[in-house]
Amino acid sequence: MNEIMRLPMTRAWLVLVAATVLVFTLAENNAPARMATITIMLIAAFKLRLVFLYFMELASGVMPWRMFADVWMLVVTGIIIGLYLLAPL
Amino acid sequence: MHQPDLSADDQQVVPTLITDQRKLAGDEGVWFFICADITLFGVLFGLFMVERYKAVALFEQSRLALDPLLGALNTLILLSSSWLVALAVHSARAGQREAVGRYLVLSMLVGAGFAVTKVFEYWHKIAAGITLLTNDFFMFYFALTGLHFLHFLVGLVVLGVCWFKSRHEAIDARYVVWIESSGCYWHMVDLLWIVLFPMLYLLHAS
Repeated sequence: MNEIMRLPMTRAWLVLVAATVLVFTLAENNAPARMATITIMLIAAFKLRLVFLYFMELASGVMPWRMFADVWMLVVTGIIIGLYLLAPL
Repeated sequence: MHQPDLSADDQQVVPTLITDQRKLAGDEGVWFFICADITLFGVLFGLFMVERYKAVALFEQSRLALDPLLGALNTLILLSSSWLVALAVHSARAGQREAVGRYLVLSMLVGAGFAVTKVFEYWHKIAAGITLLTNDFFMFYFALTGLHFLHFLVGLVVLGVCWFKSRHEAIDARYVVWIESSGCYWHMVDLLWIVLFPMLYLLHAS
């Protein structure tokens, strides 16, 4: 059990679970809503990075896959936050 | 028919590919597929946001019909199932056949919870008269989550094949590449939901 707790994927999983609980709490208490929503999307980007690095094992920096993962994460997050901010209130 | 020895390679560290400096987990072809697939989903996410930009009020009103608790629950289910698959991959590299089988079964059982929640959610929407044709938001909701659900079902089958192979074949370097590739596919299902959940359920319009 101790060995499992020391593994990078276990630590990543614990952080991912905590981040999901935080996202849900932010969404439920949404104050102020716009700021909370942007924070939620940034946390989602952080979660994507953890999955890429520690579940899909790109942490060693293997190219070009690592670069693709980073670019995909940035583009998807950028498009969602950008169009969210541009949309009329 | 030849029956492989199921006990001989237990606890035996798998040689070659696993102990050398190979860095990419899984087969390159599977990675090409994953990159192409998530790019396609990226385009669909962009299309959703463009349509939302054009009709914020409609999308906001429709979004409120979704239950964020179910979305969050599904996130936790997929994350936990992904973690269990990562542990199965770790065990396969150490040649631990029993642990591989155990983690794969657990990952499928936990992952199946996603199907239960999703079917409940679809049933609830359809019972309330909400379908793909209700409006643009629900067209995207059913199309995106439906496409994701198909990926999820394929992933469950792939994990089932991994489990079957772990019972009937040697846990060797070839098997490790197989389970790594399958694991990466399963993590991709997780990745897509990490975006879908906040984008569909939580984009607050005020």
